[in-house]
Amino acid sequence: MGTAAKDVIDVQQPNNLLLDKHVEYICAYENKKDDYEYVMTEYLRMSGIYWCITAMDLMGHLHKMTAEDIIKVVKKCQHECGGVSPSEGHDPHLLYTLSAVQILCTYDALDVVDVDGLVLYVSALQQEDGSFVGDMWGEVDTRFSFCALACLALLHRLDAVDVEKAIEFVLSCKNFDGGFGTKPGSESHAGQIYCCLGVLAITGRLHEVDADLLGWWLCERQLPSGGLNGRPEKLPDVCYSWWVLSSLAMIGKLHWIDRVRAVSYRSSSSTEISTSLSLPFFISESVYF
Amino acid sequence: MHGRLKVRTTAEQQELKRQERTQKLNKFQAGFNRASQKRLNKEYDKESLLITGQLLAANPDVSTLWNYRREIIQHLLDVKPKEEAQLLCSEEQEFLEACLRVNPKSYGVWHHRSWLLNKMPTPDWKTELQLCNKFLEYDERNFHCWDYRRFVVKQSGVSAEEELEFTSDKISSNFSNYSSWYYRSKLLPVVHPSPDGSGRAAEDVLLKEFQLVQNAFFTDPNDQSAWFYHRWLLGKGEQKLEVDCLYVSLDPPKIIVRLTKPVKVGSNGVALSVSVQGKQLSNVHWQNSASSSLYGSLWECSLQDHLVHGSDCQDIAVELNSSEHTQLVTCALGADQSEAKAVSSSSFCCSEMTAAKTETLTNELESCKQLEELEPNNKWALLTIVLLMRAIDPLRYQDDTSRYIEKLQDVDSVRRNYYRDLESKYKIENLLERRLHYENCVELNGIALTALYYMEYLATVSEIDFSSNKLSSLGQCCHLRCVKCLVLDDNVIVSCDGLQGLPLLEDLSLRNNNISTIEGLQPLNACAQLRKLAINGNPVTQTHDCEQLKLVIPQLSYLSH
Repeated sequence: MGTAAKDVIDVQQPNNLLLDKHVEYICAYENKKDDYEYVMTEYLRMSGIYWCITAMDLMGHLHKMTAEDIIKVVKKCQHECGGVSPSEGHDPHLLYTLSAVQILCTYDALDVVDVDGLVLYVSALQQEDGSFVGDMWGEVDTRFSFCALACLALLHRLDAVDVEKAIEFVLSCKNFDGGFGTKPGSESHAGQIYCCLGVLAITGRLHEVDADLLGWWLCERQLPSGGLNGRPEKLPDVCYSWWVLSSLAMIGKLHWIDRVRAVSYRSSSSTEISTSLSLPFFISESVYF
Repeated sequence: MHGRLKVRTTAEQQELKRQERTQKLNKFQAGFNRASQKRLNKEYDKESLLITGQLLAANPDVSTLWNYRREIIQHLLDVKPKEEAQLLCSEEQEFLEACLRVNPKSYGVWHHRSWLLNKMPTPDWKTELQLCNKFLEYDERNFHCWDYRRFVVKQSGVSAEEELEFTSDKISSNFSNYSSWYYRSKLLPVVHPSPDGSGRAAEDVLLKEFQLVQNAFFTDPNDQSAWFYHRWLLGKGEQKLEVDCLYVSLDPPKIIVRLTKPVKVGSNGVALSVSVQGKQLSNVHWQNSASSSLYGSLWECSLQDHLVHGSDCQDIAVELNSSEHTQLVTCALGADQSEAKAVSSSSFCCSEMTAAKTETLTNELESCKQLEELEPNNKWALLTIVLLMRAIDPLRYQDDTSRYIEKLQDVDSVRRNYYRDLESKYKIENLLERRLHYENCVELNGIALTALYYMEYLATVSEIDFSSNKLSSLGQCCHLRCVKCLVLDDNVIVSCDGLQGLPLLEDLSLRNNNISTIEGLQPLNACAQLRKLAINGNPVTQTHDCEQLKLVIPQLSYLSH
């Protein structure tokens, strides 16, 4: 009697990171403008671009991306209100405003956009309780607290918002297991934990976290296959490795994960990653190994 | 959204798929372009609803389309009479439910629904609650649904008691209950608040929860959620801010104050004021032992020119002033004394337990041991036994605790580094529980320490020996503000980072470690009082000679190489 543990089945595991193949894949993605997935992910294109160039940068192949074209795209996507949309023809949102700033920082090209406009857009999204909405339509989520503070930190403009209140809101989302959810009263989730820890790291308040309790919850994400899930009783996924490992790194408990088994799981996933959305996460985690 | 294994198809099947997708793509683009055009023309009509509806049903993550749809609905609500407006909203509710059946985890759909309910002339919150019930039946872990449920509960004034009942039903009828147990952890303190105003739930209620959670893990010992909840039940409440120790020394003249939790001292933080012989000092400069942060639990200030030698007894008082707490602590430095301290009398580990709690936890321990007999390799039972023993009587169970943690490293080897650090933490807690940190000399050698915890509690110790352990990092040693002699032989230390600025460190032994670069020793340059250093058996001695090393640490009189 008992619940079957959720995990992936052991397949034959190639043990190397197929770097050249990954580079090839991401380069090709940039040119697939009529590809089904390319079009259907237009609604998050700005983030997709950021993930791709970061992955290329980590692999030492950033020069293979066409910086000029990318910077042009970013510039075109800034709206009058100051915010940035994921693609042309879409509405601006905090998620893509952050991605845009991250892209421009990578290329040291912040001067192509209206920085004051960006700051105004972001700061106007802060609510009275310190939370941030994603756009004028009012969705509150700790992801947006991270987007706002990370964005402003990169622009050296944290003065534009009430940082204390932002921290207060994030802390109000702390849960019984040491983790954080989307809003006060929401269940802990690796992605949200990453965002909340990010806010606390940026603002020098990581001591407010119970690192031992949260670190334990995070290292319990590692399954027998070596892969990591996003919360208890869920299946592992490469993107969760990124949220979990980064969170552990921020609180100094990265060594609580079994590195060898995690690397082995990664290698076994290497050839099977079939969407561009997972691949950049997969590459980004390489900083931890 | 993330890909699973791509199945290889024949060339024929691939071509068919490609054609299908091209069709879908063209259809989507045509629809999106048409919608965008209409939006530009500010057209908020039936056709707009139709097009956006078709697009969103298949692509609920395109938030721009939800935005346009909201503009349409807002316009129609503004121009239509109340009954028609209500009907429009009901139809939208049906549309959203259909979307949810296909995509129950789309942020866009759930957000739109909450937006809609706030706009409806007469919202029916009962229906919304039933919708949540239905979707939680499909997937009890759908956090979007739980978040929406909490929105509905808040808007419609459903009581916390009713919600607590709901979690009880869920837990008794389902597996995979993490979300329900979690919700319970939020509801209990609201429905049964502790009379001490701590924000925790009342103790008698928490004790009953042990019974509930025990039933859960006996029914299914691999149901993680019950074990996580159990750990929470065992936890202590929020630490109260208090002064834990006030230490005064004459040579050099200084005060160290240790608080029970990290704070910022000074403007925008808490106030710490000092008086000597009844006279409050102005211009006191407080320094945080954790120099890389504004926050810390160990604060130090100089009393130069305020304390005199050869005096009669000198009285020192420190007052803590914060929004949470005000406290005055006094300490008397006798005529012949060079140092003095005033320390908290409370136990380090053990909060006072009621008889009821002790009984409950003891029964829990028995039950978990029974479970261990049935499932000797169940790591959850083993870990919970450890946590219970720590809660009941850490010193009495210290040998048993070590045995169990060793077993855990074997049974749950993926997390062995966690268990090793946990063991280290417990060992240091035991030392503090015995109040050994108030001695002048502390020894914690040969006990496989992998991490240093609570170093702030060793702030007043002058001789410390951590040799023959597994320490790799000295970051936490920045709190050893009174250490004169520090022995760290036979560890796996790579860098002296953490030792820089230790004001009284004179004698340091680092024999047989892993320091392999000059950079690893660089921090010692900032230990002004350091005179004796032993680094035999470190790789750096193979590549650098005495002269080179003395350049980095010129203040040394004796170097053992």
